[in-house]
Amino acid sequence: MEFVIENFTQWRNYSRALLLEGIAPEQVSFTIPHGSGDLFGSPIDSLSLTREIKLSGALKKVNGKPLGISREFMRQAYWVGHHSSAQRWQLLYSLAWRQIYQDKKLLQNPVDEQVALFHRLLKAVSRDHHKMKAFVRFQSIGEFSGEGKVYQAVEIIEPEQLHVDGARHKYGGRSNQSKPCKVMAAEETEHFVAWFEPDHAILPLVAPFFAKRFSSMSWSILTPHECVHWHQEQLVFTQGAARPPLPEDKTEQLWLQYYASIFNPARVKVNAMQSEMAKKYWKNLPEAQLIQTLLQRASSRVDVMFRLGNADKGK
Amino acid sequence: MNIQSKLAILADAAKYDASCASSGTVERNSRAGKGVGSTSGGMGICHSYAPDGRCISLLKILLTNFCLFDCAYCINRSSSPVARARFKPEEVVKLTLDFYKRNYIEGLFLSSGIIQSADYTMEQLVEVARSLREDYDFRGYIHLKTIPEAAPELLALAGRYADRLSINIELPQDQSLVLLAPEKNAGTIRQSMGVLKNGIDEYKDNKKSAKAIKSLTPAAGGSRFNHAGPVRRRAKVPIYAPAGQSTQMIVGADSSNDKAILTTAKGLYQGFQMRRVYYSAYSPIQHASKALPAMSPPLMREHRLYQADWLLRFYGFSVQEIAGGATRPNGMLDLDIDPKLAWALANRQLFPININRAPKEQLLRIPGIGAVGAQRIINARRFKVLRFDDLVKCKISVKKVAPFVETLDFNPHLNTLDSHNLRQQLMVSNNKWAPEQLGLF
Repeated sequence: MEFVIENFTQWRNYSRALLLEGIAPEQVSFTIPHGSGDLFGSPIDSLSLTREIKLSGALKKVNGKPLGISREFMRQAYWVGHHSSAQRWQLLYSLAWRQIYQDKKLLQNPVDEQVALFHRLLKAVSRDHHKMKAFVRFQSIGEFSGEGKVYQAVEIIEPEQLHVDGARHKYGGRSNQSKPCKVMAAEETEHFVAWFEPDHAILPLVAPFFAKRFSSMSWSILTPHECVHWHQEQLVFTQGAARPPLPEDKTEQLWLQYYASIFNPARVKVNAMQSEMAKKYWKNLPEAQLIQTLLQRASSRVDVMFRLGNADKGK
Repeated sequence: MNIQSKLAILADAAKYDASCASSGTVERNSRAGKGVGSTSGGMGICHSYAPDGRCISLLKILLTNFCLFDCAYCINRSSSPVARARFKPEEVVKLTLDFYKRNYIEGLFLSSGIIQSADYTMEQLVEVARSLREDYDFRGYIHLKTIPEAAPELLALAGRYADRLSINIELPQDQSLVLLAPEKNAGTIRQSMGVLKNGIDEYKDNKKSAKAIKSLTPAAGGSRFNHAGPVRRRAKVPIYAPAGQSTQMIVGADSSNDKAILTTAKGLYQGFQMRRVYYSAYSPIQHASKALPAMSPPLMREHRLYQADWLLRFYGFSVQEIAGGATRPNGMLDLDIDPKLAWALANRQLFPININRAPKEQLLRIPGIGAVGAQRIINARRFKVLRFDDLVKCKISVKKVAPFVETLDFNPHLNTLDSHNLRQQLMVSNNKWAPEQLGLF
């Protein structure tokens, strides 16, 4: 039996039926859609739009028969479902089956190969999620008036043009990197735009964080997989975009000044910096362009400090 | 002077403060508010990292670097010929909001030189926090560096707006303060830390009683027939620095040894329930005072102190065990190896420790096993008797632990533990965070 899985809901529905029948993992094959590669695999799963995800409810009891899947596993499986690995759905099924038919406490065993892999994928997604919260950089693209205004490559359209049906969105689907992303702009409202390239298709996982933090602002986060827009009410997902050329934001200059000034040239710890802020993020972090210059100048700045310090002592 | 020039001076002046934490406060978000901001209730977010390896989580600036005091170790002391600047409170407010909206920061860490008087300075600091909270409904993180000489009423006000308050202990020993910071007074510093502690304790107690009242109110639980929905009876508790207080000690500006530093730290943790004691290796500053050493201490010393601090707080070690006695007779931590390893090498008779039988406290004393690793071992041994390879699966560095553990199929060679070379062998790859040579780029 082969199942092509596009999102978590689909995996859960198939798995529920198969688990009830007791079908062993060896007898089924879960794959991702052909041609989707490891990246951009999952079209947006609209589940994330509502907080009331009834994850475990669905698996717990069917026909009065308890399946013994913990809420915690389902919550974590939902995250692992956003990993780019092509094996993720198969792994999740296998772990679910083993928990029901072999060992209820399987997930607590850190020396099991599959459990270890599960935790590795979970960690990768959660790290990606954490770094995205940290490294997204918004730029103000100004205030708008007038309809359908196109700002450089960022096409501005009115909110009404994006049809929103309840909590579900209409523009799910595969990325189309050649198209500029449309950004909604309400009249007379400053709009902020960020471009980010996560390793996994985690935008639905991380978008609620930005909605809670910047709820009184209007913003869009664009990624190659998909984009999300917030207009103080609702998260609206659209298809992936290419990196947009954004207009200059004067505050960015102040941020660069701050980054340069808070650096202490008497302490240089490049490895410590890079282990937390890997080079792959640098191209989308405005301050990272300063790193090389700051390091080059550091030793001569420290020399000056010592010279001035010692000169004073001679007085 | 324009904002950028002020920022250049007042961020530069703030970089000697080690803290940048935005953790440990209550959970908030900006839904149904008119401003921006959220906090997780747990860990904060590090939005960037400077090439000095430090995280950038908060906009860390001074309101002004003009200062009446003349503390020898401080770049902003009155006799220092540095460029001076002063922000207006509304400029700091705007800068914080502009940075926050671009997701550069978690909030503001504001400190200041002392101008006019301690009270006047504190009023200015509080005004920034008040304006952010009241005028702009800012719900991000605020850390205020508190002026110990300011009136208790101002400290109380500061706690109302800030998530975290801090007063620097500055130097590990009171007599050093007399020598290097004549205007400061160790008694006043501790007294103000006590004021903050009382405020924080009172807030915590209020929160507890509010919770208790809530659980006693039947309407809160059984509001089934109340068509207005569940009644929230929780009394509004006046906020006071929900993320507690922290402090900072300068390392290497006076002659205190590590044992003295850690003893002072331990006292601060116990006496004032500090969330963190930060250690800041004294940086050579331009136009340094004659009273100070010409060289900065190795950054590795600062790093070792943080490791030791961790062992004191989370691993059940005492100051004497890691920085005194047989382990370190001179009271200085070993710069080449980490303090737990140094302790283990000085106490080899306690090893090897049996991975399958040792209680958690004992696992935590094995070099190379941290809190997470110890928990993984405990979980794993419920399933099977562990072999040496299982340690790899528990993500433990077998190279580090090999001389100190025994498993079902492994016992360190009897000679290993007795080997005089053991220290030498284990030093390799132990210096991951050593300061590097310049020119890697």
